[in-house]
Amino acid sequence: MPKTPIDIQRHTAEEAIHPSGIEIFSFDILYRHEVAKQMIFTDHRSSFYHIFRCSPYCKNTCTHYVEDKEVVFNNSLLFINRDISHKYPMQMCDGFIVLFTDTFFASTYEKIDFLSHNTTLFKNDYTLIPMQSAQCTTIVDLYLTLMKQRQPQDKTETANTIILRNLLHNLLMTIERECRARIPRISSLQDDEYYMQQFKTLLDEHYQTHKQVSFYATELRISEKRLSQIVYAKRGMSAKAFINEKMLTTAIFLLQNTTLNQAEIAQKLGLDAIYFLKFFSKHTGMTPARYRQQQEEETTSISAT
Amino acid sequence: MDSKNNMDFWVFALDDPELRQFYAIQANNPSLNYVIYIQEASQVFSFKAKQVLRLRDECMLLIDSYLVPVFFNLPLKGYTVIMTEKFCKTKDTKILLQLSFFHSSPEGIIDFGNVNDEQKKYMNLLVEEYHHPYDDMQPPMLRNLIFNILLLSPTNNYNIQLKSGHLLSYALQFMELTNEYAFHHMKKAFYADKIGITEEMLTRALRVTYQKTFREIITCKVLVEGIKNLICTNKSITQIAHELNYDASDFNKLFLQWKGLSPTDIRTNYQKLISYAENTY
Repeated sequence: MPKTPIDIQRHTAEEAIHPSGIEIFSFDILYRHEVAKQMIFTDHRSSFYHIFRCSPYCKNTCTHYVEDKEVVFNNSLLFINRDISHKYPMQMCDGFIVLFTDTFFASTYEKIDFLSHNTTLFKNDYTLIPMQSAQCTTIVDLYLTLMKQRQPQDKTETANTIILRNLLHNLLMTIERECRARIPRISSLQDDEYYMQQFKTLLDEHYQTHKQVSFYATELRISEKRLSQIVYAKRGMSAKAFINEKMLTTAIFLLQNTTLNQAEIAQKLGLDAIYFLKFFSKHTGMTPARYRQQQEEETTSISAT
Repeated sequence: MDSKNNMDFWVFALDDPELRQFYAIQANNPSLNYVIYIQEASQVFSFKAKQVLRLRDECMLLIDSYLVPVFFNLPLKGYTVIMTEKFCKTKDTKILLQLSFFHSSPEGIIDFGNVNDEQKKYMNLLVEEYHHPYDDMQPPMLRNLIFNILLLSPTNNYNIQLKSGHLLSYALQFMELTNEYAFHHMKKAFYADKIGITEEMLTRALRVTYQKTFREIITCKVLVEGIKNLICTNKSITQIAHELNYDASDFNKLFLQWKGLSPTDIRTNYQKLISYAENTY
């Protein structure tokens, strides 16, 4: 924590944060610190990195000012690069702050690589990452919790600091991945093709458990409307229709090539047995049993000729 | 098997048939480390097998490759994490992971102790990460997770190793030398000389880093090599002894002193263990 009040400009790590080079704490600790309060509300530069995580339960708008620009980070993560001019708003946010220095983090070749490599986080002045995907959010919050438990007591390098550094590295890489998933592609034609492929892959993986367009849209980081637009452009049907197609094709495959009964097939598709009956009849005009019977009749008649 | 293999890192569930396929191809690869995380060992009923193999719920073991078939024949629930030496020895290892000392454990098993909640969380993250599509960040992600798990193991003394600096480097150099010379040079002076330090310094380095004496480490090396030969080859005991620069009676004595078992016993026991695993389950 800062020891001496400084006018406006740069705060070095030695003055501002724990000697170990890393500090993890909640916003209210910063806002109650007598000396810090003198500095953080005016523009200043810090020679260390900031990660802000706004709690999903925060009731007010979480903002921060980066180079005089207001950035809202509710339900998001905000990463501020070092030496960027920024200031805290008067209204406190409910959440966590991680501050760390180059010296702490860049202790191995691998980690130095990460800093200097083409990473979005360390290229931009600041990066705002919305925490949309439930899976990503869980992982990020897990890393933050694990890190908080390991705040070092002093400067010495112990097994604890190594563990903490590894956690920080993984947290940053998780955030970086999330960033890269969002970077818009160059041409919109490639956009559609790319998303269509991703959608198909995801559907293949998750059709048994997820049938809603909203799930796939979230995973792809686009809106439901956009997803439907893409599927229409590429396949001439809505995203929902595409999902139904997948269910139907799989059902037909199972009917034709296995001896599973209706209930078992419904289970394989993740559908309720009665619903499956209705669904199949609606889309093919006959019941699954009749469909199977018909297939067998056709096969026998062919082989008879 | 997919293109992750260029990472030198694999994760398999213990009951995954792909593990057998993997081992069938990799059995003779000496640079692989097998870390076994056992979640449940309750379906293994033999008390003796459990004792010998150190099986219990929520534990972690590092095993030599010849023991792998025993493990995947037993009804264990858990995972195996397989890493090459290259994966573990990044340019940066400031600490000495037990892995590189491993090859001096005659039993072929190093016990990393019971797994705590934090380690379980890392393990889950690791399995999840492994199944994520490959990108350039995956190797460091996995490496950080497995290293954290090993660092938290109660049987390791990393804090001491971190302090000992140059002693650590002498100990490492010594281990490298033993890989080449263990069976032909039994004198401390030889090794101390090669590294360029005094014998006292070498003793201290070994004591601080491994808590073992020179004698214990050299004997260990011989036992390990002996056991490997006994189990993986059909050579006669006399032949093995001679290859390791021992005469047959001294070789026998070595084993009897260590475990109270003769080389023949070791060979029979291992065969019994393998057939027990294969036939019972």
